Amino acid sequence: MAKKAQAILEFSMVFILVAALILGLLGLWAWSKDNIPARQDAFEDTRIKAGEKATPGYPECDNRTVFEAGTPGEPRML
Amino acid sequence: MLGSRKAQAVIELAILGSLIIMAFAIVISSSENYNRAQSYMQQTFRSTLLKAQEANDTGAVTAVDFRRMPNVTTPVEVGALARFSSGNSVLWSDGKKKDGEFTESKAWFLHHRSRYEFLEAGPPGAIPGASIESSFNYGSGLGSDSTYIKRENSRNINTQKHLEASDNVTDHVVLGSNTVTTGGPLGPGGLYGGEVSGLTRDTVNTVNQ
Repeated sequence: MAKKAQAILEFSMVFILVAALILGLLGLWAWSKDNIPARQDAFEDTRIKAGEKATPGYPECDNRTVFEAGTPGEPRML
Repeated sequence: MLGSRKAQAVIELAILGSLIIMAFAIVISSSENYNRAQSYMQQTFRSTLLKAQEANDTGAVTAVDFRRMPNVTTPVEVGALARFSSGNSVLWSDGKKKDGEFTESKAWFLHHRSRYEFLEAGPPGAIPGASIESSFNYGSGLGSDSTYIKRENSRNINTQKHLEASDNVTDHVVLGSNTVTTGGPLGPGGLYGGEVSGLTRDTVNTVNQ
């Protein structure tokens, strides 16, 4: 009986830790996979601007960078 | 009896712990890879738009980028070397002569997102994007020097880690009849070919007792 209780106690303690780790892992994956469509959306949104003459960007100059989609917003977390 | 149970628990922890760390490593490195690859492809496409517009004809831009990925098991150290290649060919022309002459299709190689190298055309009239044959060959030699200092007193434990890493990547890219040499030294952020060479990382942690 005491052994069973010990096993249940150990399981419940470890389960909390393992669940936290797995949820963290899923959260990380969700953040990363949400970045891809977010970046694609930002890229599509800037198509017209990039297609206008003189705005695709001038990477050769120091003060003007390649015209690219901006940093995606904060992704949705679990 | 008690000793063997302890040993079993230690083995279980060791196996489960390393499996979880491995899962984190796979998630972090593959997500970084996908995200970087997408970003580089988008940037190269916008660069191709720029060069095609300048050429008033077909413009092709090829880029090869190197960077060090995160190291999950020992975060202060540099991770695996990743290589991203991207390229596009875009026709952007108003059909008119430029400076009194007919335009020609042109191709460039983009070095570490900052400098274009013009590639001499192959057969006259060939679209660069259609005639490019690529073969890649690169070499790298990583050297790193790290120190770890731990100070303990009655109030707290202070740990300091310091890393100085250097690396040089050389890549020969064959594009049609051109061979382009790219790469460069490892710099801040794990990027290659920038103006600053050498990667330095420092961490300081203090835990109160």
